[in-house]
Amino acid sequence: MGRLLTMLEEAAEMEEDRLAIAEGSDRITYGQLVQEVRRLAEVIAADHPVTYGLVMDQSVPSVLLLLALLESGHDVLPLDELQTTSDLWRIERICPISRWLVPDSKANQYEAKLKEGRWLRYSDCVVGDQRAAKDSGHASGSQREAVLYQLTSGTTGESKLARLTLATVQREGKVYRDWFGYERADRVVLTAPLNHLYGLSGGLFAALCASCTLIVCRRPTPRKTIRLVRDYGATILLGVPQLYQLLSDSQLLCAADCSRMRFAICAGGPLPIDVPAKYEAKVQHRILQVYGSTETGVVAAHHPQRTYATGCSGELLPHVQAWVQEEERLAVASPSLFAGYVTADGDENPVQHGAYVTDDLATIKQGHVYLRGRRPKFINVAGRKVNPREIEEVCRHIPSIHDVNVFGQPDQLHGEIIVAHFVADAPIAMKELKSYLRLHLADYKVPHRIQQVDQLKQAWKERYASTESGDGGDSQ
Amino acid sequence: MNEDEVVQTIKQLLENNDIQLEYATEEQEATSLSASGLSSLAWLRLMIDLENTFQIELDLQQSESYSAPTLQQLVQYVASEIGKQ
Repeated sequence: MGRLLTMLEEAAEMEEDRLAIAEGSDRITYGQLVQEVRRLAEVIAADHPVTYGLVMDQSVPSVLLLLALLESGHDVLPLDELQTTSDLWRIERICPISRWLVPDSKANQYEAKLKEGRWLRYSDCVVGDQRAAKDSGHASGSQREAVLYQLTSGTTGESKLARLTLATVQREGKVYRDWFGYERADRVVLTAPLNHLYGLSGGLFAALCASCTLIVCRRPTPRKTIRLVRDYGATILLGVPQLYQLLSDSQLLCAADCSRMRFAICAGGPLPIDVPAKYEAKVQHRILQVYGSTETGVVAAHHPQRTYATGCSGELLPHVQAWVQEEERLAVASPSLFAGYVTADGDENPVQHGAYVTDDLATIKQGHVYLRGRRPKFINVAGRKVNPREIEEVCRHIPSIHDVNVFGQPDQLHGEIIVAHFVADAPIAMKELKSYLRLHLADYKVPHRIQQVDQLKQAWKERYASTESGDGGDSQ
Repeated sequence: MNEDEVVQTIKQLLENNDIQLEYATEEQEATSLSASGLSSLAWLRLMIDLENTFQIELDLQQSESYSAPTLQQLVQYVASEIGKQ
């Protein structure tokens, strides 16, 4: 038995009739959940785990399939059902997908594909289709660490897949449970999609490891959200900033609809500064903000028992170290860091010395994170928009360079000039470096100033050492 | 509130969501609002604006999928909801 079933069985042993997941008219208890995941995992089990693309319609069957695939040791890329077949084709160019699972309701969209052996409807697995089961030969509960992929546009704007281990996603579920204090009696309404890390960890895995009830709000609207909160007597709501903005603007939302609510959680982007006060005055419970990303997991969050200054994105979580790097970029070291990207050009891992440098600009005061915005995507060189990530990618192909930072600097003539700082194992001749860059980049993209430095590396090490020694990680 | 007033109010709300229908032809008015540039998020924003403005509760089934109606359909729907009050 794998780690997922172990967790579910523990919950079922305590109270197997407790409602585990509800969506629409579908309901499944913890006892049924264990049975179904075990049965499906046996159907899907394989001698050679492969990568599944799972088009998720946020239904209970889609959740069962996700859990069963992970339990079987398969790698899974969960995707939004709004993806077109062309989107899926582009994804396959990044990462070969051995099998696709699509909702039965989308069978028409995938009619041609479903004639191929590697495309299956949900129901093909649920009833034990031979194609799904043809590799069977071992019991479920693989000891192999399954990988969960997350589709991301990355910082370059090109699609890539972020790789997370199942252990990381489960850990993130526990982070939510422990920080926010999810309890067995909680009823969690999830309006964020289950194919994204926020919905998966803060919604599904946090609820399952707390043995509480998850209510999935598919295609959320403010009215549908309010109805679910009221009808289920929800105690926790998970949403994105836009939902809370709409709810706070709705004149028809009132405290009576949310009488059992303990708090709401907001992640997925910055919450407009006026929203929390408007929302909280209306419904008498707080919005607790979460700051994190697919690459880092949760970095900082509001705690239910504490209050924060306006504009504070939260306090650094236990086991997370963060510090501010060059250009005010936030660097993060955490046990929940992702395991790199899969790109069309191969694997890429920007985690250096156990830390990931985000594109978020921030300050940290006494362990509290204040976001100042995002690192600009483009450098404006005399009207030409240059993507610094593109230059960084080219630099990274030089074997001795193991870290690079490209950014814009104000310049009277150009508007902005391109500056590159890099860290290398050995000295690199600037002339050769520039020749290389001219070979691979248009002339106007070649950095105006290039400097080999050890500051990046040095800064990281110093910061890492200071936060490890327990001074709070509040450096700037 | 008569139907003309409903039309003008809805057009104003749409303009607030950057959907310009002031000079819309009949053909455009018969086109789905999504085809006129109303995003799924703007559609949700519009639902809240409509509820607040007309003090009506819009039916869940109408709003949960992003198959935004035409302006004509929306006007008829809102007018009928107002009539129920």
